[in-house]
Amino acid sequence: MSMDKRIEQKELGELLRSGDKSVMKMLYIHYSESIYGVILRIVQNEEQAKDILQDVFVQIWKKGKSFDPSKGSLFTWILNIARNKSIDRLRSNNRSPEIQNDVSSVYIENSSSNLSPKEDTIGLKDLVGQLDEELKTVIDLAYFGGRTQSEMAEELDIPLGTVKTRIRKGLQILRKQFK
Amino acid sequence: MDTRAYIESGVIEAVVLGHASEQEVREVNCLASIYPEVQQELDALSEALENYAESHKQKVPENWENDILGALEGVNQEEPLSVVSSSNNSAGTQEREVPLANSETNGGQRSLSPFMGWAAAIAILLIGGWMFLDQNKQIEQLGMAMQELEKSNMVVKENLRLANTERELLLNPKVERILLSGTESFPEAYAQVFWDKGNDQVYLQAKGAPEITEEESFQLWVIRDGAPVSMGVIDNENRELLIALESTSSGSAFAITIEPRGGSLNPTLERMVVIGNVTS
Repeated sequence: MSMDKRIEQKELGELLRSGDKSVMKMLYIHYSESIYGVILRIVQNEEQAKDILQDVFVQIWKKGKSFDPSKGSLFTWILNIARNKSIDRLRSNNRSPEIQNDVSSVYIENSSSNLSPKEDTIGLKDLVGQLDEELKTVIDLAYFGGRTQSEMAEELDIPLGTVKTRIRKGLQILRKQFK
Repeated sequence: MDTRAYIESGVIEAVVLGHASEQEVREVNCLASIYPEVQQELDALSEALENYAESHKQKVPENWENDILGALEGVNQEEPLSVVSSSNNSAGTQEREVPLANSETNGGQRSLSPFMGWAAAIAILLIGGWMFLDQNKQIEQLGMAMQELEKSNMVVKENLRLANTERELLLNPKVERILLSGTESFPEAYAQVFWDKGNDQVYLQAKGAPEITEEESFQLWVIRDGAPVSMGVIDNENRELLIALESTSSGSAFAITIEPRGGSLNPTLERMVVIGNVTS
């Protein structure tokens, strides 16, 4: 993440904590696509996703004062709200988040202003594609699927240690890719 | 602590992916504030996931914006829970915050009435104003009065609990109370350390310490065999609380220095705030 993004998050976080409601529109402009993308990935239903997107923004505002910048970035905090709400919604429908392994279905239509000039759609496709399927599976099961490591081990019928190793490998690759 | 081993244990991955226990999350956050390498790993992995999440972005239908932002109309921010926040100590030690209300250590019972008095006054004022307001406002005001009462109730309960804990410490014959007094640069500063010789646990209350910024932390050191050993850090907002830090079985003195946030490996002697010798 560039320095600009970091500063931006810091400022947005401060506005949110100080109770300046105008920050919500800014957050919408900056993050709604990412948040929506995550929600959609999990619930895979546009109507439900809209519902959840609204809930997420309400939650961000409600809990805004409790956001603690020393515990992590604003974006991560927001993403976790989105993930948790989406996974909860699915679970209340007695469904378990399915993780499609079809990588192409996940791509964005076009890149919009949020991306820094360096990144473009093609670049992103390549990067995500570089995650080996088995690594991507565990990352997705954890991140979008809300599975614990033991749940994954059971589902995939592999040892717990293997799950841990794959998660570690996958995250290290993601870490290097997006620099 | 072997930070390399900790980083390789996979617990940080579990935290960023969201399948760590609450205890693990607190532990990682705690260690991250003490050990820069842990913080770095935590930041890097969180960022990697942020970027991964972002790569899944989808266009949101334009007409949704009004609906979604409109749903915020009339929604208020919730007040964060007061008091109890984590102190920073390394793995192994159970984090125990024993927040203490603002007055001196006299071990006496706190009076309930001031708080209830305030709350009641607010409630009455609000309810009194009720008659002149329309329906919706009435409901809102009643809700506010309830909230005020709930809040003060919580504060009162908390203060009682804290007063009792500090009293326990003071009455415990195994606990030694060491007064740390100000240095040349900070002559007015003071703090106290409670050292429970029964279990070696050290508690710190830095009420008399000066204000510091968000980028700084107070670090407590024990002088053992002539060398300073870190006992943990606390940040500005926790100065007034009674915080359980590390434990030590021996020491000839305690001191607090101001360090960059998260603490340092060695004390910055020019920024020593208070120091006190162990008398026994």
